[in-house]
Amino acid sequence: MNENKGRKLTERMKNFRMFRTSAVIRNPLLLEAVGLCPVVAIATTLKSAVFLALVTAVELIICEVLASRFLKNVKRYVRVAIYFFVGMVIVYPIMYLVTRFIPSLSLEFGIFLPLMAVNSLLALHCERVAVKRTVKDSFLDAISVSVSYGVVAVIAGFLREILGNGTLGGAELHLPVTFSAMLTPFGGLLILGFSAAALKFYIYKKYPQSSPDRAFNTSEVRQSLKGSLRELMNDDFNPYDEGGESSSSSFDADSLRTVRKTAEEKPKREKSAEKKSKTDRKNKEKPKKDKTKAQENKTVSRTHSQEQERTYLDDFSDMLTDLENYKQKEQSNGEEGEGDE
Amino acid sequence: MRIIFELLYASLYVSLVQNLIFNGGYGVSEAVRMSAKPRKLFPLAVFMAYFSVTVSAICAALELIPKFHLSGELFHVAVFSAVVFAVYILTMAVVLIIGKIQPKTIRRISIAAFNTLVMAVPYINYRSAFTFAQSIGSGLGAGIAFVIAVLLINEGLKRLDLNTSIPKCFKGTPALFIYTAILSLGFMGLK
Repeated sequence: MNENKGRKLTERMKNFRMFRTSAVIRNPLLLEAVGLCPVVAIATTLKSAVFLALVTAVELIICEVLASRFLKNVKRYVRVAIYFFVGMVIVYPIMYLVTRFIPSLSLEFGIFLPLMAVNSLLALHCERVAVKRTVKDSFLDAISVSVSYGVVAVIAGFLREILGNGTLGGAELHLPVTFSAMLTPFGGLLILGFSAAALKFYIYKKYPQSSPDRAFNTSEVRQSLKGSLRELMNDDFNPYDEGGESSSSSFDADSLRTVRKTAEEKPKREKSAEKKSKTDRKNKEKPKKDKTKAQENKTVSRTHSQEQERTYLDDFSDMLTDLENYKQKEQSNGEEGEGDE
Repeated sequence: MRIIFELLYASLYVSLVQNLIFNGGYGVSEAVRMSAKPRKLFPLAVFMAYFSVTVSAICAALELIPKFHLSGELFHVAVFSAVVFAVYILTMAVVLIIGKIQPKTIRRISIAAFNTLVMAVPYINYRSAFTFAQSIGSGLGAGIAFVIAVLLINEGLKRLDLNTSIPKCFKGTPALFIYTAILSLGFMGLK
């Protein structure tokens, strides 16, 4: 009995953690910047925002469950087309019903109703979660993402309707001033910006150990555009980080193998020694003026996580070469010892 | 000459005057996310321009059929979606036949094909009653608009990333959204 209770409790805890990660710490709309188009363009009133939230939830739940149940062994390029097809199958009847029975909403949505079938949120969560986990996990993920997406959309719709139209749910509020710009993408993005800041504030306060910045990786932002055309057929194209965690934080067996290869090919010890001496020289040349500047440097250095990772890899490769040298020495010593005997 | 003028006029209109990303909000998440990875911009933009031009050309050609042109909006929606779907399938088939396909190319093609920017172009052409040349121009303009948006957002993101005086809560997406909102306001002035 106690074991069963314990299991149920751990499962509940696991579900709660999953919900917290999908809905709060990695909020798709505010922290990952996915699925922005419908919210920015059509969540201009409370009614349209609620409708948008409902349609997205239905789409997401059906797509994720279907993907988790049937599409695990299907190739990726076929899966993506199926998501679009399923999205259209869901959206098309809704569009028909809305055009027929709620023409005012149809006018408000315009061309955005069919565009909801290609919501990037759909493909991202199906690829990141549904095809890798169980149906139950995918369903939970779909629910949590739908709730978080819906809440943000409704908040945006609520604020934009009041500020832009001076109404709430169609009822006049008789406000002295209205800002019609709030009904444009400018207003949508502005509200999303402040909502994202509020969410980050909440996360830092409630879950200080988690890092919401990881949801939107900016480590590659300073890469040059020159090599962009050469990258036409290059590897590692993953704008949505479909692997789940950002690639910079993972250190798996493949990277270990590549490190080993590089360690075998090039003796990097000299390079890293040069690097160290360079950095030492730079540090000597630039004395730290005060503590605040040091803190600023620290925050800047955090953003260059990839560079740090590279230095770690270099250090690690050095360690490997040392280990191999040590092994070789020991072997040669052993052979010499045997020769002496 | 007139055709070329119409094409250039439409592409200029869609990319600058009525920038689809900043003024319409189409493909804004793709632009924002791509701005953080500028090295991958041109390959995706090339595929996006290819899809938007091809889809709008086919849809504009279909509009020349009187029966189709007079049909209702729901039918248009179904046909436009089918065209996007068919172009994607055909492209994938060609890529698979030509040579060995790599995962990143599949990702690129799927993201370039199924996004709100590419999907919106035939609807905009239909609603604006664009001619065949104008439709191709707007397809091309959608690709250019995407590149302009990503470059502008990327430039801002670089500066925001280095700025240490931004409060911790506003670092990352909050500051980026507000910056994109201001850009959107700027483009509204060109309207």
